[in-house]
Amino acid sequence: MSGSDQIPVSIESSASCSGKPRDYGNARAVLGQIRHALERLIASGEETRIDLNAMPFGPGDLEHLTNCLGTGEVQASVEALGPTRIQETAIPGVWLVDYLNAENQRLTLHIEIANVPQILCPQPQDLALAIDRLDARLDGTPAPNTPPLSS
Amino acid sequence: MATTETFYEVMRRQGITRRSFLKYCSLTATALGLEPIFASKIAHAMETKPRTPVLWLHGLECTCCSESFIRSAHPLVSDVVLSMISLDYDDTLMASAGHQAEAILGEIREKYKGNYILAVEGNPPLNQDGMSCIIGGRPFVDQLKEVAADCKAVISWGSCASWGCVQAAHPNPTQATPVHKVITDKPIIKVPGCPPIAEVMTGVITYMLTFDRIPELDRQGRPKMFYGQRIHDKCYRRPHFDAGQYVEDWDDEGARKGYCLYKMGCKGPTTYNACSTVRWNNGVSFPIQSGHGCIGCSEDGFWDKGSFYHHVTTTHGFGIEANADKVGIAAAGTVGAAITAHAAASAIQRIKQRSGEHHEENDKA
Amino acid sequence: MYSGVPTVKRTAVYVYQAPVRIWHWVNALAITTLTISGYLIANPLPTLSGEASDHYLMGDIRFFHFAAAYIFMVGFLFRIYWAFVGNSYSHQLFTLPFWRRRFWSELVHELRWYAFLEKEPRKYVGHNPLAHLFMVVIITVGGLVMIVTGMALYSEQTGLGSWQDKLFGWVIPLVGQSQDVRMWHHWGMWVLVVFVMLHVYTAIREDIMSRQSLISTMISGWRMFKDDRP
Repeated sequence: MSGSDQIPVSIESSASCSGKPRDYGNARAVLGQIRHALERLIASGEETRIDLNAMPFGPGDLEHLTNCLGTGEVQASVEALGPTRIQETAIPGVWLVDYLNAENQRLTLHIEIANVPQILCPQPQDLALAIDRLDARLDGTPAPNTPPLSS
Repeated sequence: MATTETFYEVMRRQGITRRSFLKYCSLTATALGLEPIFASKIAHAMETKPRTPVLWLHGLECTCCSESFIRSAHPLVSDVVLSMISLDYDDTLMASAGHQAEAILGEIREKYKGNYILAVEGNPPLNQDGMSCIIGGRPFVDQLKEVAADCKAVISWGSCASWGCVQAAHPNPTQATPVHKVITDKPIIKVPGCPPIAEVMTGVITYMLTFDRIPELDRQGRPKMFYGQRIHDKCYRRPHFDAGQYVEDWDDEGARKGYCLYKMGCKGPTTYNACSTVRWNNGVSFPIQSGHGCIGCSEDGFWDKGSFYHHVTTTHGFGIEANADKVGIAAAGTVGAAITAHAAASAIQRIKQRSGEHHEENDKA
Repeated sequence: MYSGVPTVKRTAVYVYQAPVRIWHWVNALAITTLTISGYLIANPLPTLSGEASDHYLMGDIRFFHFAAAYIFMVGFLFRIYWAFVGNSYSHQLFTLPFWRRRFWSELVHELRWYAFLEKEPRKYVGHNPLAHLFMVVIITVGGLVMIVTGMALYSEQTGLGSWQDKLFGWVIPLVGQSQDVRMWHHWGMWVLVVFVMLHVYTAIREDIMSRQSLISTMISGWRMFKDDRP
């Protein structure tokens, strides 16, 4: 008899401490911010980024926000400095950009209000080298400064 | 010379893509607590500004600051910062050694007079002519003073450089002295902690390079953005403190439920650092989250504030260990006893006087 | 102004004006609240069970501490003001006749009276010299130290840039670090506790044994003398 079975063990479910979020106050404020950003995007083309990691979200806030925005058609992934996952929401022009590190842990989560998230667009600096690069490939000689990740 | 290149050019040469660069800028803006819109500002600065030479000196220290620094959230981030600065001298990380390495110091001093940043890890001991820390055959304090003479600003990495830390703890036989007490004519940015958080270190450097100025400092010379609040102010266990729910013993119910560690001597209420927001090891946890109180490692003289498990400082010098409460209760008790005795003596005297007066009156009669 | 033995024979003098009396009792209440709540902040009550959202015990204790602290401070400022506009006894709290030889000789006399070496105490309209010294050191200087250290600690939660921080934030680096300020503030509490014990005891004792009224004076304002001898 080890006696260990006499030690009372109580298992608490993690759900018990989540409580009932009161009206998802912070999610609602962010949704208002997104609405204003959309108006600006339509009127002047100005893009907006919102850092959700910096928001004082209570339990349920983030879920409420993402549920409300829904899921759109586009999903993309960028492999640069670890993966970055881009998800279009059901609201056109509103994107979720999830920055992860190499171990797939979230570094930060942005909402981007733009036609296309900036990280997906071909970069002007890269475009400037595009013709040289293609020419080099046509000639069969490797270009001198080819970044290995995009070769 | 590499320092004429911009940071972005160096990055491209190292094969880091434009998108990695943008992601890095976004993450840095987040780490600095800036709006995401600042990411493009950071990107612009890095594309246009030449790299800033940094000399990283090591005095009396344990290299925990360097160890922390190279473990930033993403291994590439520290690489990025390391390539962003032109780390021309760091006797722990650099390949060259001996006279060759020491020659670099003189070279940078001349070439970038007034334009390089001096990062100091550890501090100089001043007793015995500084013999307790010898670099390249000379006391460290000499090297520090020489290199600091021509620098733009000094970053004091860690509690050693900022306050003195363990080697300056009582009785401090080598008279280890924090950097700001040796270098008094240059702006000094203190980044205390034992070690400081990696993201705080990279954040401070990135800020200085991006905005071309030192971050806003508090009265003690620490960047406000990371040291503006106490651990206690942003602690996730704070609701338990306010509610009056404390861990009373390391293995009690409260400890299992994650109650406030105030009664276990947590120094969170007196410690300025970013642990409760930035956290450690890629934001995984920090001491309080893993169930142990904060020991206040980023505060001045934290080794000399008595036990890590009492928040009322133990006062030495009374022969025995005592804290304010013990002495206070003893004093109040003694005074209480003295008052009682005095009151009794007063009463007795008064009775005596009365009877004396009574006798006098009787005699007169 | 320090007032010694009255040369004219009188039986009652109006010493403590109404605002001073009100201040005294408000201050007494504030110090009591501050001491009890302060002690409980440093040494919290036993842990409460249940959800954190069900309680706000430490929060309430701290609220009482801060509220009483503001009352204490406003009272302190008012008392300084009253020293300028009040009667001649009202500035005793802020002036010590350090260079007056008679003050020190009377202080020695008062000490000898407490040590049962004098048969009869002297008469004083204001504070007796010993009480005067204690009042200045503990209430004025001590109170100021508690206000300054307390506000420095309070500024830690109101944050950088708050008026508390601008006015009192310099105290923390001056003393060392936050924990040192905390420690001195805590020591200050015990000094006040011991003072209050002595104050209450001597007030009662003097009321009985001396030749003038004390406790009733702080209620009515009138100092009654029990005999007509000088």
